[in-house]
Amino acid sequence: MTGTGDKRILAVVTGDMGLAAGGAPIFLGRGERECEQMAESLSRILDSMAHHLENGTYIIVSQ
Amino acid sequence: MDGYLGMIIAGTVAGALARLLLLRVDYRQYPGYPHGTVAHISLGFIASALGAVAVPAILKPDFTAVTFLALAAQQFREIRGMERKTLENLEKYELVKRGSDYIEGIARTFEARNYLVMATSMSVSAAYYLGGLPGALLIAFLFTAFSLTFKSGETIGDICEVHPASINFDGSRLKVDEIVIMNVGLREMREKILNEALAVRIKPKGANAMSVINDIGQRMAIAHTAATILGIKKDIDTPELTPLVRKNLDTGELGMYILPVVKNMEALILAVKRTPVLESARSKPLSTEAGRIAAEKHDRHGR
Repeated sequence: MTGTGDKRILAVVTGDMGLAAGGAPIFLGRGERECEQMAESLSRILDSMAHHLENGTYIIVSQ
Repeated sequence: MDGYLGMIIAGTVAGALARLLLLRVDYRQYPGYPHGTVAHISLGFIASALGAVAVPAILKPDFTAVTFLALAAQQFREIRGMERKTLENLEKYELVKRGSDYIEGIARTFEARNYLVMATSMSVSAAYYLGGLPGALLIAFLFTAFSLTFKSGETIGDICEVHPASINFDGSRLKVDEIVIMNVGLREMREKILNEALAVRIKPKGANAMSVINDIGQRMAIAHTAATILGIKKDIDTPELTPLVRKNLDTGELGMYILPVVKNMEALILAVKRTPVLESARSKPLSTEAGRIAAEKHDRHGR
């Protein structure tokens, strides 16, 4: 809550696979709308927060 | 024996009364649980009985009997442990966490209150011996008044100004005035926040106050108090609705955002103002020369 906890990226949602790589599962969405919907669903399922990186990519971060 | 009995009864009654007065069930809902209240009253009664028999023990004279006061102190340290453990267990399921600083503060208060009770009963029994019932009543009154001043510590309202603030978004970044709070990824949530959230700006009065609100535990306590009093719309799967307090790096002022159940700015400001200043957050940089020089420089250039 205050930023002192251990935060982890649980998932990445992107419309462009060239923008994301690494250890977390990457979900490919078709278009911005689908990406946002996927980010929302994932954040609710994982009880965590969706952040937007301003380039069409969302990261789902555990609190 | 009759004299001793009077002393012990006077001391115990005064101590138990002091504990009852110090027991407050307030917005923190603690100890709001009936069994917690019973536990604290019982321990308070034991503390007052221990304090009350100390003076007759000296008069007897049975000096070794006084050493059990040390044993009592040991027992009361356990109260702190008990409180801490209870609150930490509850913390796991709090939507807005109290924070360990707040928990430690509450636990320490419970321990200290038992010492106050012991001091009250000891002094009252001594006063009963020296001045009879009128003396005992006088000392009981004085000690209770003294203990009650301990009960009401400083609050955020005493050391800071709290003003309404505006909420805006810079792309995905949620801001309270110019203070960045967090990144909110989902459009739907951004709209909800814009429509339903409230924000305040907490302005410290001086360098001592600034160092208090700089403490992360203190900020958590502010958010927790506001959320408890106003209620929040957050649920377990919407962490973006957690009230957050962040600071302006340059001025040291805080911005707080909350999504309350009841959207009322006046109530929010009052809630923030009544947050207690935590003992662990309290510091006084102005009492050192280095602190004073730094504060002066900051006042001249920083704002």
